[in-house]
Formats: sequence, C-alpha cells, structure tokens
Amino acid sequence: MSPLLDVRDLHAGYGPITVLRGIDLTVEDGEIVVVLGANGAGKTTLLRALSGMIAGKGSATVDGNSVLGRRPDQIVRLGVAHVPQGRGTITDLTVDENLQLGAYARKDGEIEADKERWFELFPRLRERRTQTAGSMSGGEQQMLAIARALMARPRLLLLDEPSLGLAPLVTQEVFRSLAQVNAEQGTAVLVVEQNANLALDVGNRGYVLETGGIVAAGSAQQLQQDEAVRKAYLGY
Amino acid sequence: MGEVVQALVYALTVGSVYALVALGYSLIFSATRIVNFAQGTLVVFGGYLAWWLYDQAFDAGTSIVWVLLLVVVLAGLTGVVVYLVAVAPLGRFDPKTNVGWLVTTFGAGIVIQELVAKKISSEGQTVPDLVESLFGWRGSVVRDVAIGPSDVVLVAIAVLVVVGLELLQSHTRFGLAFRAVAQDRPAASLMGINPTTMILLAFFLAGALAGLAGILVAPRLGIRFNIALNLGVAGFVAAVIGGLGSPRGAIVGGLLIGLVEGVVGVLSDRPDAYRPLAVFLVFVVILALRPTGLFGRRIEEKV
Ligand SMILES: Nc1ncnc2c1ncn2[C@@H]1O[C@H](COP(=O)(O)OP(=O)(O)OP(=O)(O)O)[C@@H](O)[C@H]1O
Ligand SMILES: [Mg+2]
Repeated sequence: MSPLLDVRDLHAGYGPITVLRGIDLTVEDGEIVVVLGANGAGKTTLLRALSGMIAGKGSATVDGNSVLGRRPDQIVRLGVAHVPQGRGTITDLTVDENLQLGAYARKDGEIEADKERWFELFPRLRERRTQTAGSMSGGEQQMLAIARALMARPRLLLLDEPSLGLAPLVTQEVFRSLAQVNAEQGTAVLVVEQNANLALDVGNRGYVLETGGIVAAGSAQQLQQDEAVRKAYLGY
Repeated sequence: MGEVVQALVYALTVGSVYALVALGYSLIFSATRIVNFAQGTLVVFGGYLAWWLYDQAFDAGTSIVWVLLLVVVLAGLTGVVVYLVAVAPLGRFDPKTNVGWLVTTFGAGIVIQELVAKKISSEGQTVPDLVESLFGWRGSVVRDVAIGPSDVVLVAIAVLVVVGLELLQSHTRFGLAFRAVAQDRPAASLMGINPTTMILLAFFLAGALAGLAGILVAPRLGIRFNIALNLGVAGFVAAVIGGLGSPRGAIVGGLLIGLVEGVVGVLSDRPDAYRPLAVFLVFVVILALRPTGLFGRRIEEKV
C-alpha cells in the first residue's frame, strides 16, 4: 500500500531562493511523524509547499493526488489541514466562528457535533466560544488553531511548531491532545518541532532536516538514541 | 425652518447615494486592500445604461423594474470586468508598496466613460422615477418641505442594503468566509476558502451597488459625466470617514457628508464653492481623531 503522504525529490523556495533541495519523506495513514531541524533549516517551507502556500517542484502526493500546483483551498479538500507557524486563526472572529470556518469545505451535517467533540478535548475553548481569537492567550489560540484544523476532518494534519511560545505544561497538554486525536480518529500528523523530546515521545518516526535536505531518518526511539541527534536537538 | 428641513432631506438623499458608492469602495477594499477608482464612473455608467435601455432599447411601456434589474446585473458584471482587466493582470502584489492599481483602476474608469460617450450618449440624460412609475406618487409637500419619490427610495434602499450586508457578514457561512479573506487571506485559504471567489464577489457587488445608485440618482440629479468625479470623491471620503470595510461605517459616512453639504447649502450663498472645503475639513478632523475611521478597525498586516 502506498503511503498517505508521499514526497519525492521535493524542491521549493521563495522566488530565486531555493530552500528545499530534494526532500524524500512519507507519512503512513494514522502515523505521527516528526521533523526536527534548526532555525532556517526549511521546516516551515516544507509544510508551506505541502499545503500549497508556495510552489514546489518534484512530487508530493496525498492518497495518490498531487498537491503540487494546487491551491491551498483545493488541498484542504484532499484532506490536508495545515496549522501554520503563527497559528492561522482569524483574530477578529470568535472561537465559534473560527471553528465554523474550519469546516468550510465540509458539506455534512455533523459540524456542531464535531465542535462539541473538540470542546470536550479543549474545555477552555468552550468557555471562550464567543470571545475573539485575538483576545485569547497564546496557549488558547494554539488550541483553537488545532481545533480549527481538526474541524476540516483531515486525514493529514500539518503542524508547524505547536509549542512555540507556550509554557512547558501547556505544550505537554497540546501534545497529549494530539496523541489522543491520533489514537481516536486515526488522523495522521506531520509535526515540525524544536521541542524534540516531547514530539518524539508521541511520534512514531522522525526526520532530521538540515539546510534544505534530510540528513537522518528513523523511528522515534532510534532518533532519541542517536548521538548526533541528541547533541543537536535533545540537548543532552 | 422649512429651509433647514429641506436641507436635511437633501442631506439624507445625497448622503444615501454617497453611502451606496462608499459601500462599493469598502467591499473591494476589504477583499483586496485596493481602492477601485472606477467606482464613481460606474455610477454614471449605470445611469446612462438605464436611460439607454428604457429610452432606446426596450419597447415603450416596458416596466422600469426590468431596467433596474438589468442595470444592476450588468453594472455588477462590469465591476468584475474592471477586476479582470485592471487588477488581476497585476498579479500578486503588495497593495501598499505597489500602487499600479491606482493608475489601472482610474484608467478603467476613463475607458468606461469614453465607451459610454461613444456608444450610448454624451449628453445629460434622465430616467423616470422608480416609485413614480410604479405607484404614481409624484412627491408631496409637507409644511413647505418637498419630498420626492427619489428621496424616499434612495434612503430606504441604502439602509436596506447596509442592513442586508451586515446580516450577511455576521450570519452566513459565505459572509463569514468573506470576513476571513478580508482579514487574513493566507489563513482563510488554509480553511478551504478560495480568496478569488470572494474578490470577484466584492467587485460584482460593488459594481451592482454603483449601478443601483446610478439608476436611482438619475431622476433626482440627472445623469452627466461630470457627476462621476464628485460622486467618486464624496463616496471615497464617506467610506474612509466611516472606516473602510464597515457597511455601517459607509452609511454613517455617506449621511455625514450629505449633512455637511446640506448645512453649507443653508449657510452659504455660494454653496458649490464651500462644500468641498467643508467636507475636507470634516475628513481631516475625523481622521485626526480616529485614523481608522468611525467604525474601522486597525488592519494587522501578517507576513
Ligand atoms: N518569505 C520568504 N522569503 C524569502 N526567504 C524566506 C522566506 N521565508 C523563509 N525564507 C528563508 O528560507 C529558509 C528556511 O526558512 P524556514 O522558515 O523554512 O525555516 P524553519 O526551519 O521553519 O525555521 P524556524 O525554526 O526558525 O521556524 C531560511 O533561510 C529563510 O531565510
Ligand atoms: Mg519555521
């Protein structure tokens, strides 16, 4: 069976600047895959190319459908939801409205039920459902961003540094929730993280990205035990 | 006293026209962050189109209602053409540093004006009043104050359009999506919204509103090319004062400009000379106090 996400020899960048120079990466159905890498390695660029925010060359398919050359709103309909670095919620709209828009591409009648489900997972969002996204704390906004993406009922969730700017306890909470969603819904996750320990704890596999290329790959345990990875990304 | 009330009636009527024009600016600005300087010309285009359809193209006796509907749709489509011809070819650009749209939208207005002058008419024209033709009411004089059918229709339609747009934006899936695109285009597209759809819709609605303003204002002011600039500028000032992007701001701004012009009309014996000055003063004072306009929000730029 071919992987849910299959990336081969992906090149992407900004105008004349090439950032990604031939990325090979896969995510299987229901898997959590972590991408580690230093600042400027190209992690955000990778997710942007996969969600159609920037152009890419090579091949990248979801369920056999190429995402390259498609617009972001079309890629959402292929089952990919991207939580960009910096959250990607609409700050002037309320929590409720943001969740509603998260389900924009859906046509079924279970949108309210799904909202309830994510309110169960993130009770603080329920308390603040009529508050604007911009008036919430960083952690609450991150939860909203994730819940917003889940409202699309994605098969693949792309997460860009969900821990950025969050207190360690909140980060743990976010990762626990992710693991729960993954276990219950079978949603595959491709997560970019600097907080490598936490990410590898919940992840199945990982890749290490350096200056636009994959330099190491393996199971979460293998990466956690790898000398070079530990020194560079785990800090011990 | 009668004179003052008459000035108020004028203010409400003219202000409502400005509000319709302002709404057009506002919708387009929300979706694209550019100002469509063809907006004033589209009003005049709507007026001439109405005259041509009613007076020349259709059989005598055709209801003005058909003319109205056709003008609104055709003006809307012309708005879309302005986008496709004058804005879309500019590609992806930052509207703040790349101001090519300023020239292209203004140019589109000139082209439309020339086409109308060549193909339709270059003389001043008028069309029959909507209410008068439908209900036979030719206006009334209440205690020395004359109220014409256009006065009533313009105010009522402007209010209805504003309330309609506000409800649409706050209560429908589509309206919500429009606001999302207005605020954060990349985030909106990651939610599955196609920004281009919303931009086309904004240009269509803005054109349709201009057409509506044109056909409604024609019986009251007559339709001539030289009102395009005045309507375009006054509508723009109204939109900025009210806060670009806010429907209720557009109507408050429009009525305020109408009121200022009305007051000048009462106080001065040379109103045409002093109106622009008074409007400009109000513009400057309000922007000094509230740089985003009365109902505007600060626009956060996301990189
Ligand atoms: N909009 C842009 N235009 C031009 N170059 C960019 C742009 N965004 C990023 N880059 C460049 O691309 C390279 C990779 O950036 P990217 O954002 O993908 O890094 P990252 O791995 O996500 O880093 P971080 O951990 O700091 O978020 C960097 O050298 C950066 O300067
Ligand atoms: Mg990044």
